[in-house]
Amino acid sequence: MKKYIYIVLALASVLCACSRDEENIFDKSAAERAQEALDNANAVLPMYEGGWEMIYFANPDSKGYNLILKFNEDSRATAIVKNVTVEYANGGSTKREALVLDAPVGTIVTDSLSTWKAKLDNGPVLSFDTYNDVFHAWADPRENGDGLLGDYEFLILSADPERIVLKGQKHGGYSILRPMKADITPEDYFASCEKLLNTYFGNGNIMTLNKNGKLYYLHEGSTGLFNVTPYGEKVPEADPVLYPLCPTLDGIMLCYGFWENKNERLFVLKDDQFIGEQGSVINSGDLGQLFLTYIDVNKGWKADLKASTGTITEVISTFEAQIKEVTKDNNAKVTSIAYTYSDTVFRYEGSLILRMKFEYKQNGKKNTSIADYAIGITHETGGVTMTFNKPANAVGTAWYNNESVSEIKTLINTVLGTFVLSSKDPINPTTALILSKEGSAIQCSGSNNLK
Amino acid sequence: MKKAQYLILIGIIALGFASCQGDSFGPSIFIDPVEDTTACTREFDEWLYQHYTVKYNVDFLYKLDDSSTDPNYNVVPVSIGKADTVAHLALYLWYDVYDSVVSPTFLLDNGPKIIQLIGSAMINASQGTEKLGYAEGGSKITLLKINKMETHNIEQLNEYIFKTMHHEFSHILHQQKAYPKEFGLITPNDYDPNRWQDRTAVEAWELGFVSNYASSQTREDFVETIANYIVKTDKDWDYMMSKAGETGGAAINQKLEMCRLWLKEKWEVDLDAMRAEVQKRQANLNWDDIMHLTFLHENEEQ
Repeated sequence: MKKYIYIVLALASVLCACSRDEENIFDKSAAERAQEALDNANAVLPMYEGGWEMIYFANPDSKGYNLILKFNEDSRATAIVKNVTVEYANGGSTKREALVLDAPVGTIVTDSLSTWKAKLDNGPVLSFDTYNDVFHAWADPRENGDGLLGDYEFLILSADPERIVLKGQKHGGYSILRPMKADITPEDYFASCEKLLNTYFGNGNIMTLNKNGKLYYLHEGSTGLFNVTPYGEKVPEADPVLYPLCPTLDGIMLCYGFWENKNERLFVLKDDQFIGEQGSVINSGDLGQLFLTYIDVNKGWKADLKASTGTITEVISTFEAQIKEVTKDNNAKVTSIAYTYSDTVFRYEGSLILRMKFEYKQNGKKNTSIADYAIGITHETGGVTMTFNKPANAVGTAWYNNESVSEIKTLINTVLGTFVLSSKDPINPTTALILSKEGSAIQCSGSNNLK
Repeated sequence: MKKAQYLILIGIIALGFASCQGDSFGPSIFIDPVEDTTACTREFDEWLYQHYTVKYNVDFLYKLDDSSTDPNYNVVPVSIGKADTVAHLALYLWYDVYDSVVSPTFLLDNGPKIIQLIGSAMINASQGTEKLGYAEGGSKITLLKINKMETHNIEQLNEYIFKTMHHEFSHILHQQKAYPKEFGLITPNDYDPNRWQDRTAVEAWELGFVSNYASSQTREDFVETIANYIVKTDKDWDYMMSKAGETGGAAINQKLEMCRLWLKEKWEVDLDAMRAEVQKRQANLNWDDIMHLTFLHENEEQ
């Protein structure tokens, strides 16, 4: 009986193994497809005389870098970069040095004395197989053995005349190549990319991401790494969610898209908004929320009263005249003392405060007197309401209770209240935000480095 | 009956194979190793082919395949210019020396079959060490940190290139014919594979080693003794021996004598003649001669 069972099992296994129900997913074998991909890469890479713009993410945690690459058919590779200062961990400290060693930071560096090759490995692979001063700067082990953890061998994920997507073989950073515009010099290319990054993401600007109707905040974009938080939240002290980005001529490129939209890398700039390939939008978002979120440690808004208009200018004028009069002879021991009102700042100092600064000279030396007032801020779409709470330091109390300078209360009441927010620069509202209420428009600018 | 059952089984299996014949194989994924005659490096590649592959049966690799390197290290390729210099230098201070002093076929018969150049060192930051070269399987020598080579700095050239060449080649030789076991008994208690880098050169000399790396393990000691003896000038060697003291100096001399005998008996190589030739060439580095190969024997095609 056993023998018949063996026969039946053998017969069944053969029939199963050779089942013809499976359909070929591909028209061609794996070998043919790999060879075709390789041939395609060899045809596409040297296609443009002006070369390619390369957005290079050395590894998945690295900010993006702009490069220009040219591939000659005789296997010569040229790489161009604007030299910058880079940092890496080295034995417990941070080492800072030029990206391209031996070249001054800020200069455009070109190296044409190296070779490239497309070959087959786990698929088609692009390799820069002889040393290029520019291109291998990220992979060079430097002093710590790791350097900037960059790759010079890449799996070619896709290659067509409009875009090539690469993935580093060892460290796994994505890189995107797009045809370099013919009518732009390397100097102008790097300058334009830098300008775009600083214009939209400089000054600690916070941008809003709208992904499928859900809002997030994108902080610190000018560092090359978006620090992403839920909408309206400040950056966390630990475990940040970081998304590497890089400016391009027409927008920004991400190493990988936000969460499940991982292939949504390119966000094209249009009407001061960055539109993603899958419909996500990055813009300056609601100004009321921005005003509130921007106030953080050493970060906040500075009122530019000279650029402001309406009632506020009259109040300031009266106030300045008053303090000048009151303080001109207020201390017989000092040779000269005259207070000048200098700044109004909305900032964080353990709690939200309105800070007023006064400058004066004492024994020939310039000093600053700081009066702090605790305030409350709420925001509504497009606006904020700020209310006075109480003096928050001794100087603030002294000024507030000094009946000789009663105009300070008028000033406080003028810079507080309910405001509608707008911006002279909708691209980067932190540079010129306008707080408007009846009869007064106060211009503010954000500062991420308040002393 | 039993026979019939086997026949049925064989028949079924045969049927199975026959039924799978419909799967055909496509073209090979491997590309024929045809030389790329369109490459900008063609002239150099042909030069390497003539002077290394044809003459010494050596594949001289300077274009790096990163996937072939140790994934635990980050390394970069060598620059074409530095590869060109090293290829000439290796003929001058290694291949042609053996041709002149030992025999024109010695390296063809016993030399490495692959020489690989890598631009950077292999750095082990946690140990504070860097690897400048290594030999594998008795047939491949890899020279590292070539991009940092300064062609007019003889001390650095000695450390990075010449010494490493002789060091790694000595590994190739002892991987084929073992060195005497007694070598390891001269200073058996002072090998330290983990903390050798903490020893200064003088401390290593005093213990009877020609370098601190020599004190890592016996086989490194053996090849370091040969390599240092070949590339160190008389002045440097004498200085080392004076600092090594009586005990250290005696141990180094004992090791050197063992190396000398092993090379003579196993390989018919006269270490002192080899050293004299290398020293003569090192003292007269003429880059014009080296790059134009005018040092090669008169009848040889350049």
